[in-house]
Amino acid sequence: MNENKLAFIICSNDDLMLEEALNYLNFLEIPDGMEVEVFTISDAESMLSGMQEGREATDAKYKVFLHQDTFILYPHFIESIVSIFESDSQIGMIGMVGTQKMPMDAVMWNGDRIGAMYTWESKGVDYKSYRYCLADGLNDVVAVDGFCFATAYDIPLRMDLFDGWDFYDVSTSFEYIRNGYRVVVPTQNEPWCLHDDGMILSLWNYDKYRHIAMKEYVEFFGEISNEETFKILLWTENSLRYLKLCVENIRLMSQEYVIELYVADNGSSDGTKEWLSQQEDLSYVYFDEGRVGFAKLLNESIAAFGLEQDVLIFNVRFFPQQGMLDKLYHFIMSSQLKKGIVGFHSNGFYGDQYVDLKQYEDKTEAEIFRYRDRGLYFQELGVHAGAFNLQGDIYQKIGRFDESLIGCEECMEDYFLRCIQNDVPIVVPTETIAFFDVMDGASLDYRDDDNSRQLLRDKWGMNYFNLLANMRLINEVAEDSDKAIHVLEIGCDNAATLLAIKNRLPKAEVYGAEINKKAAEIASHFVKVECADINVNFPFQNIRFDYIIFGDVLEHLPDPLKTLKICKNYLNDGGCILASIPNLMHISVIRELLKGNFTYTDMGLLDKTHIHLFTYNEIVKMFKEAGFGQINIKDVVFPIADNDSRLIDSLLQLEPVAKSFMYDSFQFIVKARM
Amino acid sequence: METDGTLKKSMQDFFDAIVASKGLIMPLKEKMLNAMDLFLKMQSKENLVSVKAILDDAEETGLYELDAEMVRYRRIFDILMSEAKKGYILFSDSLCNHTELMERYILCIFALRRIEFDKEEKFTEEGIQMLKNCHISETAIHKICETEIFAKTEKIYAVLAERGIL
Repeated sequence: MNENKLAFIICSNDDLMLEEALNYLNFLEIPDGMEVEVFTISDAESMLSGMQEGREATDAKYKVFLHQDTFILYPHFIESIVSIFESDSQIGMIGMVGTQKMPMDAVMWNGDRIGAMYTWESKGVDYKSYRYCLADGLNDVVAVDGFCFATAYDIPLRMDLFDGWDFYDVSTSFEYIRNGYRVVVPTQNEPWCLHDDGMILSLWNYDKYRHIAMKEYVEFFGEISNEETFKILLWTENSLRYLKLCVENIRLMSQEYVIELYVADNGSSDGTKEWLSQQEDLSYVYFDEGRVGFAKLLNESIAAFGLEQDVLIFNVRFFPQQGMLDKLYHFIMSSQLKKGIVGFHSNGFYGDQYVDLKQYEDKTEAEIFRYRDRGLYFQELGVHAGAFNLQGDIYQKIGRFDESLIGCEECMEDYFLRCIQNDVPIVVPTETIAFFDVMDGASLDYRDDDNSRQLLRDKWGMNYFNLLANMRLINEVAEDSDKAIHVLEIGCDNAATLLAIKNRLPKAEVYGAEINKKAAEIASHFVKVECADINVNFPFQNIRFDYIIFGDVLEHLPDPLKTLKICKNYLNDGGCILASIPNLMHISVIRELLKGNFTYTDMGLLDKTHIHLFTYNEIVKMFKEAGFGQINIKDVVFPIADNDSRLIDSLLQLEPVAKSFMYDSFQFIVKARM
Repeated sequence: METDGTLKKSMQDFFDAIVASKGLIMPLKEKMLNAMDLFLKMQSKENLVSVKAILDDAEETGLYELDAEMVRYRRIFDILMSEAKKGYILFSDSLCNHTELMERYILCIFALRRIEFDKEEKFTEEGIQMLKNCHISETAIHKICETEIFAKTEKIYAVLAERGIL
């Protein structure tokens, strides 16, 4: 690397422009001891590839990248650039014009810029009173305009993302900052350059790269304007202590943003109504007919306050953290999510919303949790009902919440299914916007309603509403994220598990077989699905799978052994069966049996639709008989009561052949290969 | 003053409109350039000037301004129409196609800029000679100086007057 050398690198597709730009370079003064060379790149595939080609062609430490329509007029340009770099080794990039705060829409010219250049906007005014404000000395910026900038170090250019002619300058600026360098714009008493881009740019492909930049560089886009308004609807019921804390927290946020705060009080009798009446900065509605259903609570509140669009809905037991609104706004802007439901991370919900606090020493780590390599968000079939954002006009599109469903869970499940039917996305950001710790008291106490559950079943013609992925099974799909595996789930229901696999392995081909037509229709919005009875026809017979999944399904089949034998024919070499199977021998069943009870239920271990019942040993026998040689079984254990532990000890004394895990495992996760 | 939020939404609408309009603008541009080539080859002044109607069609969308070249063609047509109205020799005189026409326009800008910044006598003189050689009209000089990037127009006019071009 020659430290006394500066190279001008110009990408060009117009000889006329280039020739004139080169003419002006001839008028620049070259400091003593300095060597200067010029490279023109005429056949570049993109601006960044042209820049890279220029870099590789020279051993100059200092490189100035120019547009072909940029004319450098300042005679001491070279000396000034070198002296700025020499003044601070942390300066990696110098621009003529830049911005200290990137606008939220990523369009640099919409923001406040500093620096100077001759451009058409300066017409009719003296150059010294040029539109951009001039600060003294060096101005640190986050991005510079690409018409002319200089660098002192070579860092990797993001040719993988910016393969055109737009946003390469913004990307390069951000990359220098990410690499720990300063990016600066010097004070120019008169502009050092004239940029003759014909008054405006050609913008045909600009938007494509704008979106890429917004997704890749979320952290660089500016703060929310203090004129931005957020609408928050809190719902509460006899939770005055939590309500006060929640409102207090939101008030802290309102110092930075305009927040319209609304409270729906579902007939509280703990003084909530009186407290609300004393608050001047919020609006509230009190349902004086007593506790109403969740759907009615939302519908009437939305109508009363006119919250049909863009509203955050919280239960008061969720405490919105500082910075949440910033993050939410950034997410909405960068994801370009015009309409949809946005959920938040929690340790009280499964699927991709779930973050296990045990992984972290400090809860704040979970609050900044991010799957950095998985895009901006996961698509989900449902999110935690306690806090979600109704983005855009989906309330108008989907309609009112179904008031025949009293329970919160049923109301939201119904709403999610209606959203899916209408292709309204339900998403959870990969980066935590807000983290709700259920141990803080965030569990919802909205009453269960058996009638609502039955109404929901009747309405949709479905027995199960598996909106949550089976994470225990998904964790067994241990593959690199770029691997193009084939996965089939038998009895995929609404495809929650397959969707979660797709979230993790975007190149995976996922297929579902579902006997219930309604569930298959919902699943079809996410995966390739056949409404098929596995007992009659094996679906997708022309495909060989890496995984065939049975999530709590084998026990429902009339001949699970036969089904497993058939599945073997459709597995790839090394392919495996993944199954979750309830354990009949669980201590809760044994205890009831000892009392003389073996009562079937709607769900759970003794689901009345179970045709076969399994213990650990029976599972092993079945898979062996089906021809699987490698059988790995994990037990799923939930905490059990002390008296159950004692009962297990007693049972083990009576029959030592059995093992403790056979009693305390609620379910077994099986991974079987031939 | 728009807030960031409304700004963001309006920018998306703006870019959505660009994408939607590309299919309209590009064929219009091609049609315009083909017509220009035909009439320049024929040296048909009246027909050449009439091509501006195609540009006007694009102008109705307001989005043709997103193509820098289209904007410059509009300026060229403004010059041609003004010259035609005054009975001057057209800026397009003796040129055979739209590429040559645009090249002449750009060279005139360069020449005027050389006069404005006056970096070196020889360099400036080349610019003056270029303007003389192409018999640029007073109308064209004023239109270019008014619409392109020039600030010291009085200086340019003074030099051109001194050299007998204006």
